[in-house]
Amino acid sequence: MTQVALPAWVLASSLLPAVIIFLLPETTRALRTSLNLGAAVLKVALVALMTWRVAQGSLTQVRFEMVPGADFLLRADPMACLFAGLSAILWLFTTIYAIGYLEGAPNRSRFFGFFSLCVASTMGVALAGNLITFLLFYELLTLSTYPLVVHRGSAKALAAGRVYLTYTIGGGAALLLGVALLHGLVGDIEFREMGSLRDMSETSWPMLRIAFGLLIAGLGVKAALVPLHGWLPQAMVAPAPVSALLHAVAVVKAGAFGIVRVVYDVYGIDFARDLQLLLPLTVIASITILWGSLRALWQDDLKRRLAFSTVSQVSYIALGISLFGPIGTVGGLVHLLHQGIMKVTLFYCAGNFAETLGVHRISDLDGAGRRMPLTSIAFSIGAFGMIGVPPLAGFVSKWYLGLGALDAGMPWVVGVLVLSSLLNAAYFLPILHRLWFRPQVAPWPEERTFGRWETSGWLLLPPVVTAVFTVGAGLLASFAFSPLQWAILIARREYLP
Amino acid sequence: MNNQLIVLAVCFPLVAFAIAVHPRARQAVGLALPIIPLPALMAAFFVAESAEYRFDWLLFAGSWSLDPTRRIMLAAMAAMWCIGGCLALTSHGTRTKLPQLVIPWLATLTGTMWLAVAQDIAGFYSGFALMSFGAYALVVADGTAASRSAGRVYLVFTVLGEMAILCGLLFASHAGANTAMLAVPDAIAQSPRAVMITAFLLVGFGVKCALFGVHMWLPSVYTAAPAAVRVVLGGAMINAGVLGWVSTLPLGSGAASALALPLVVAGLVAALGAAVIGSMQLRAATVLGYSSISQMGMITVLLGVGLAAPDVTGQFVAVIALFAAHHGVTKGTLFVSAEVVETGVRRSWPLFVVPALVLAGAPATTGAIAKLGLKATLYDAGWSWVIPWLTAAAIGTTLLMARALWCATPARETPETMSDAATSLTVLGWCAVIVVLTAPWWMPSPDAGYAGLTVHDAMELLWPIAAGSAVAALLWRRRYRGWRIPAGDMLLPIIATVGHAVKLTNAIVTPGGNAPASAPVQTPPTEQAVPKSHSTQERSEAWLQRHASSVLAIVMLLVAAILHLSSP
Repeated sequence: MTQVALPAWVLASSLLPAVIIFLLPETTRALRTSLNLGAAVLKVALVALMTWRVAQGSLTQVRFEMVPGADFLLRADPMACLFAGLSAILWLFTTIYAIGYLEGAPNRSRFFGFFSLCVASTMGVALAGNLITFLLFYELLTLSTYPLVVHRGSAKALAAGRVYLTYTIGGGAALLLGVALLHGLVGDIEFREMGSLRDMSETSWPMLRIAFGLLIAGLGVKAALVPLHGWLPQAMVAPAPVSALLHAVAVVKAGAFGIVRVVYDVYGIDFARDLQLLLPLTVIASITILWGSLRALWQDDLKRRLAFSTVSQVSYIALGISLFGPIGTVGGLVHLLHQGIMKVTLFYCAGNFAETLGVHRISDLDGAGRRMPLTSIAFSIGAFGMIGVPPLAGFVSKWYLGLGALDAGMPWVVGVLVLSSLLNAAYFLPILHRLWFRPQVAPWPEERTFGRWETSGWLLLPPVVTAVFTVGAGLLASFAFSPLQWAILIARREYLP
Repeated sequence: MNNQLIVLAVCFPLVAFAIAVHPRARQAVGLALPIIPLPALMAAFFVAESAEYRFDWLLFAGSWSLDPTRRIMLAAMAAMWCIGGCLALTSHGTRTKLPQLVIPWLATLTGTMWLAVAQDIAGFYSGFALMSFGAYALVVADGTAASRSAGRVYLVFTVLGEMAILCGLLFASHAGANTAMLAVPDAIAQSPRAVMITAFLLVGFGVKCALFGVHMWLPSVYTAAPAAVRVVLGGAMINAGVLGWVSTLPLGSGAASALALPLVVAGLVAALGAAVIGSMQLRAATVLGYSSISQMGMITVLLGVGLAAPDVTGQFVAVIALFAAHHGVTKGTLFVSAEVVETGVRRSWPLFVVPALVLAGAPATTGAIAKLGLKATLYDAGWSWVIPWLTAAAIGTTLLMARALWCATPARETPETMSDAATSLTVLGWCAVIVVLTAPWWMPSPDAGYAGLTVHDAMELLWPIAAGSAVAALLWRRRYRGWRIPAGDMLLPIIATVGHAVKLTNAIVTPGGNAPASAPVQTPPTEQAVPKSHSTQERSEAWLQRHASSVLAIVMLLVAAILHLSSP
């Protein structure tokens, strides 16, 4: 394994298992499980190695020509490590969770095959070194998640799948158009720190603005920017591990990450400001943040409320990106990780309530804290983190976003953050109140018992670990290799030549 | 060695918390509640001034140390947590089940200790948040309907307060480009937004220490909370707000002098108004709650003067800290005493009268030192016109104390033989009273320690007490049962207004949805089933979903057309 090929190995560590799992018969549970887990652990190790090397200052890449004028390029840079690291770690826990969740369910080979393929695409999105490669994996991600969304095959799932495809294919087309437009203007566009379009002449600026709009519209579908967010709440009919994948690990994050790449590594933050592209993005992100939170208030279905919360929270990333200045950048990037960790915790817990007690609605959660204390503690930590209560991960994001907004001379953004936090409190605290302070009123709809623990160990471990991460990412924010420190490292490279 | 007490002060309750998470250990940890704040209490006395612990990995680099202000506050808070812990044990089994109290108790305690030693903004704010949210669980520990509704009001105010603090700290931290608490006052003083930042912090921390205007949660929470929780709420947590004030506000700089007069007026209104409204209440805990609002009003006055006047004697912070520490210790003890009197222990009234006199400012107590310090500072700063009003408030304090005692005294006293619980409660009460009476000597403050008192000073202090007692005797000899303002005064109209607003919003958002008005604040009535298809929000989203593909297609055609036309 040479240093040069490391990004390829990272990609292969989920692509190969995907292929093998598709070929395995349904009944070979032990082999499939060990292959899944082995690949996930291997990937974490590979990404850790890659991150270490990048921190040492070495940039490794894999490049070959696909068609004349368009290279296939995988490259390990700090930004790639940020997203790959998040996905690799959360994939490991989501795999553990999915194994427990789908215990005894049909079509597991198909599920885990696409599951691995989905993560392979995410790795591709993370490591892509130019727009073409990014587009390739971005579309692959759409196609590999569709079977997961409709996995249950019910009419509702199929309908949700149809909405999902409509949105994402439409978005993909907009993205393709944007990429094609840029390609026509300047040729192959590599991602480069400080941007690669900086030296364009002023005559091409209108075109660049149109291209930016197309790219953001395309990416905004996956990042669930209002009004392109409609698919996300529909897709909550998918099984809980898939929701985790959609909301925290892969899909939504790929959109947000794409926006990061476009703003910083294609246009460059200075150039984007000169083109006056940042303020519209700030406004859209702010609207999305408030709209998502508002809609979440009126949901009784737990996963649906969480879905609208994602709409709101993911736009914190776009908000941070659009604030000119390194502090805002840090806030946006660090929230890319923090939102993933916190939201995945919440979805694991929602899945646990559904699988163990049969509870899907918030109004049925009364007294669940006594029955499932560990899950409920994890949920509470995730919820407080989302509100941004210190010293949890969400607070670190919000603090940097707020400082970034002030730095960029936009104090009104602090108002948006505060309003959103209030709304977050308004839709999360009643859930916690029901969990902990209300007595159970009716027997659980479909209770299952699992022996020693409150639920299956496979289902319990992931939320507990990610809840610990949520505390750790906040409390140990100044520790080396913490999300915050890594985000600061990237911001430094994006602003200082 | 001594200096490590500062770390132990925070870590001891934290470790106890971690142990108590295990259900089997919870009862045992519960029995240790009174001794868990001891390292903090010792830290207040034995840690060297220069001792500073830096934790570069903690949040945005943590820094823990104790300056004189924090020392006196920490001593008072830790003492009250000890006494509160004792009370939790003695009254356990009667009202609140101890195991239920242990987890939130330790979380809240950890938060209090963290904020007391943290010199970094993030650490202070974290401790404050941990304390505030933990206290919610303490308030509702009884699980009664009254405590739940009080808890809901508390939570709404707390969340709003946290947000105001966040705004204030964000702006201050940005202005000073610094994450240290010590840098905050200067950063605010030099910022062009000084008034706004000061207002945020005033209101944010003011929620905790019942600043007039955001005080409404306090009376009902004090009434509904378990007795032990009252002791730590009124004795310790209220001072966290004061500590927030004195360590962030630009006192003596004159940068936010525009807020001085409004603040002084708000303080006077609270000091006098709370005395009037408080003496109409029916429960001792409610009356004592209003007394807290009144006392905090006096601190607010001093704070307002501090915002305007240059700090001629460098005394503002020290006097406020001493006043707050005195009030915390005395009020906490009063809650214990009220509990003793309420259980019907015979001849227990001196137990209440002694701390009541201390609060009213009897000579040779912390009350006297605090009152005289307050007056001297106001006089030095040139705001002596305020002093007569504060004297009137002092009469009000005596009135409130008389009212509280009157409310606490049960109609029938228990028989001569006391139960074990009542005995230990009485012993605890006397211990607390001794703590209060000896406070001038043990409080770690340069100003504390009983200095010489002139006859004139003594008269100044005593006549309001006499006057207040006379008024009280007159009022209740006549058994005044007339018109009264309910606990929480302005809260009820606010809840009604918010309730209407929520209903109206629901009517707009979900026409046809009949949202019940059972949840006045906070809990969105949304949790009840609302016909989804009628919602305008739902409709617009459904429209988007149906037409997303066509809209996108049209947009793309347009773009393609533009591209085609603009190409050379």
